[in-house]
Amino acid sequence: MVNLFIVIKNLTIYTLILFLSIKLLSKGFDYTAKKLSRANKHTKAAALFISAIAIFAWPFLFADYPYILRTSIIVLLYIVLALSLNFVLGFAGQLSMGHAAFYAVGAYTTALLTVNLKVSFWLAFAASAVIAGLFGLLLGIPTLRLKGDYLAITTIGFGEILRLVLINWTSFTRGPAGIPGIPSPKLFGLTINSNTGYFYLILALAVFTVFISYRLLNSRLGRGLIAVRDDEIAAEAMGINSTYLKILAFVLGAVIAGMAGSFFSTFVHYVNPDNFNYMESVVILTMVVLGGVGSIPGVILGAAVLSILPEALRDIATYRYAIYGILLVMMMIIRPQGMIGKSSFKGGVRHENTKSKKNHKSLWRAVGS
Amino acid sequence: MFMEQLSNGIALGSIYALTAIGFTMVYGIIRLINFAHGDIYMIGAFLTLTGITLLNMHLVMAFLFGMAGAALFGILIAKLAYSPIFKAPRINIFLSAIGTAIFLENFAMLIWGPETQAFPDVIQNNVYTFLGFRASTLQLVILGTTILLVTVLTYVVQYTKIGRAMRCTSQDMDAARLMGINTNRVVYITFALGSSLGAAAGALVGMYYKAVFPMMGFVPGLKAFIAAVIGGIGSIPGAMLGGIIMGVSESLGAAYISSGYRDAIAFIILIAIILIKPSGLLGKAVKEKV
Amino acid sequence: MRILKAKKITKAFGGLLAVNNVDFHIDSGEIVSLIGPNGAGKTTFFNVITGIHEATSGEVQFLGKKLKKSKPFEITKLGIGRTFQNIRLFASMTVLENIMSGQYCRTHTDLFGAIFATPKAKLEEKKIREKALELLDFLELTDKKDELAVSLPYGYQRRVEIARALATEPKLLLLDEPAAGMNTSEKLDMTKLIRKISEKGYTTLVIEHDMKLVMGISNRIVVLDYGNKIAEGSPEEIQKNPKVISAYLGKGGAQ
Ligand SMILES: Nc1ncnc2c1ncn2[C@@H]1O[C@H](COP(=O)(O)OP(=O)(O)OP(=O)(O)O)[C@@H](O)[C@H]1O
Ligand SMILES: [Mg+2]
Repeated sequence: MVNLFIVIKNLTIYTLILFLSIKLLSKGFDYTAKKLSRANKHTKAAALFISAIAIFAWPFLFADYPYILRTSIIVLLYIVLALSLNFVLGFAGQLSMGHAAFYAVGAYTTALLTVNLKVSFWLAFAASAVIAGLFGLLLGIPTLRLKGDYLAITTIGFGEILRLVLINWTSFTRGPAGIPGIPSPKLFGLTINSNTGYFYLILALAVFTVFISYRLLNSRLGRGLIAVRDDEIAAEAMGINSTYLKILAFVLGAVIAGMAGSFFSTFVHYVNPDNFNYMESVVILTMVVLGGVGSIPGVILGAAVLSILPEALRDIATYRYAIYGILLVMMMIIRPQGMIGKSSFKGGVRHENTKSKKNHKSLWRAVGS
Repeated sequence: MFMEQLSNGIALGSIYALTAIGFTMVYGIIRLINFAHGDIYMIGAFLTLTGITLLNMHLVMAFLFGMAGAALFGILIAKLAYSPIFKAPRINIFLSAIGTAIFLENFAMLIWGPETQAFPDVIQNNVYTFLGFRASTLQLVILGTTILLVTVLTYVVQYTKIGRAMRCTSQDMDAARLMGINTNRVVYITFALGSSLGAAAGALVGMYYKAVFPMMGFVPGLKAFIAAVIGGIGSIPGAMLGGIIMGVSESLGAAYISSGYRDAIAFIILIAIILIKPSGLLGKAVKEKV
Repeated sequence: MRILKAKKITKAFGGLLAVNNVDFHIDSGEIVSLIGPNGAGKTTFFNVITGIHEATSGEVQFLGKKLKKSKPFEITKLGIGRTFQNIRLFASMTVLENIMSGQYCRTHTDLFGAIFATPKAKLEEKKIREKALELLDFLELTDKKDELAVSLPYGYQRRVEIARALATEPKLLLLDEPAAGMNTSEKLDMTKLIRKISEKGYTTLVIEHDMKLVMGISNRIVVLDYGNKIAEGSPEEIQKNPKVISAYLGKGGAQ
């Protein structure tokens, strides 16, 4: 019972801190977003250039701090993962909660190919992307009929089935024991086995992911996706094939997650089913929601914060997931658009529009009104 | 072997049914898949266990204590996590529900510890054979408790004033409010009732498998949802039927196909149902009006 | 030329016949109005034509092609553009983006083109933007182009929806109550706008409750009541038609 009071006291304190930080940080981000959207091209380019140099020089700045370098690699890995979920959740508006499954498919493909068949990492990397993409296609098909919470639960189901296969098909995956001894990649005869090498590898993948996120978003297909997310019926009435786009988003998200998985397995040299459980999907989801669903800078920020936070909060590690839970609820209540909302760089004041009112007709409007 | 698995399946199925009813009731009223329901089930099991071991309660008392405590949790969740965002898009409420679920799991871990706790032998377990059926005392207790609780619930929903209000509200909340029904109260009572049924299921499972642990609600929560979907979400008899179907097919599947994949069976059923008849066996299809 | 022909369309929701055995046609260049009391089945008729609902019986022919089982996006691609009675703009897009999204079905850039910004993709993107800017100009929305569409006042939102529908390059434009909720002067603007659109060569079918607007623009009027077509003819004929008068007066008048 003493325990109960301590836990409640701590949780109350963390909740308060969380509440204040969300409030404060959101103010800060809104302010910065406003400033940024007003800043001229040169300032923006200069800022971008300086941050690019800083990121490229990063491994040299922290060459003597392997801990920092390793954490940076993890941060970049989660940026890739969160952005890959963002294709599905942020662009197409489909709540997929089995995203770790694609990550697992990529990791296991690379592990099996490099360990059992001695295939080169690069080939295995490509195979991971393709096979994860095929799984994305497989999962994309039920989304044609499902929406929101139903889809979420079905995707959890897919994730769990995959995990059970990884555990039970021992002759193929070695079951819960996992696959050790995954080799490091070789490039031009050099083996990449230093943190610096891995840093640049995952940095390249992260830059690639950010790049295609932006290119896609600002293209015809991106507008189609956003249209489907905002209002599927209106999108169809504008000649947009929502089925095709939703599957496209699933496949793209799966491909990128598969690549991240491939990197993970070569970086850690060991995979097992526990790396890819439901909580992993939830962590990726929380990153996207915290940062801002559909907002590329937001998702990057969310991934960075939530992968650094556990390191910073070592002392209260047992509280980590409880805090994640509170964080999700609190974000939904005080800042559902995320730290950097997807429309924070666009003009105009938000009104409640007629459509959104109508769509929520079935909800519990009594409460609080 | 078959008979044993069948009675096992029915016992398991009644537990799924109890949990599924809670899901379905909340969904019927506010169209929300209360993702945290599985964790309420876990909280119920822990509270019952605490009642027995720490507070030295009699089994029945502990059971009621667990149900009441879980009802309180249910109301608190509705109040703190769902009601502030009720006008938001559904996906936001669902994410809030996921957050609540994660919180409850880890809250339990902080308070009761991450380890599996043994449930004491509170009932002497005998095996009875009857016309080829084999059932243990525990299985009969589970079935009996389920039947009792469902009867009470059916009485409440069909014949009491609050039950009528609930049925009104689930058909059309706006109209119910215009008729002078306090829909807020109906919503909280629904949460309380649904949560206490979930807690009863959790406590029964704790007794049945003699184990209680923080993640015990996650998979059964999903399965109860599936049971509710099988029967047609929103329908109480549907949830009963769905629960039994799930329990039996899972027991038989685990025995005759593979026990490692026992949890996968539920999801395969779900995917099949959703692809073939998304409105469930006893449900009606709903379509958005343009 | 006969653009659209609907034969014996029936749409039932359970036991309710929202549209009952309606014949309908529209010729190239016409402005036709579809009127009728609340709940008469007008919107449902639109939804059947645009493929959102499948007709319980009957068939729609558009440019000589049967639309049976076509998906809404396919129908739009064939050339039917529409607006919605309760505005459905894309909430996270600016006005310009909303209109650009209307060009989706007239363009072809694929994933490869989008990611690598091929010259063809770039050229197409430029064309989409130009087309959207042209439409913004036509609808006098240019100064609002970078604002979130849903942040605009109601009247503007209606215009953005029309612009978005025009961006799909329709051969037939369906407007569902374009002047609903507007004041007298806004209604006058809308009347002028619909004429202007028609002069550009778009065939237009309008659902509207405002009789002044309807009488002012229509070449032909079709009246629905309880799902049935009760009258059809020129504005003068409709004004005098006793069935129409009783349908409206019986409900206390819809003006
Ligand atoms: N998706 C639906 N499901 C069930 N009934 C529907 C649906 N859509 C429309 N209805 C019913 O069909 C009838 C016709 O509705 P509709 O919206 O077509 O009328 P309307 O002529 O557009 O009316 P208004 O002028 O009010 O817009 C109404 O009784 C309505 O309640
Ligand atoms: Mg209408």
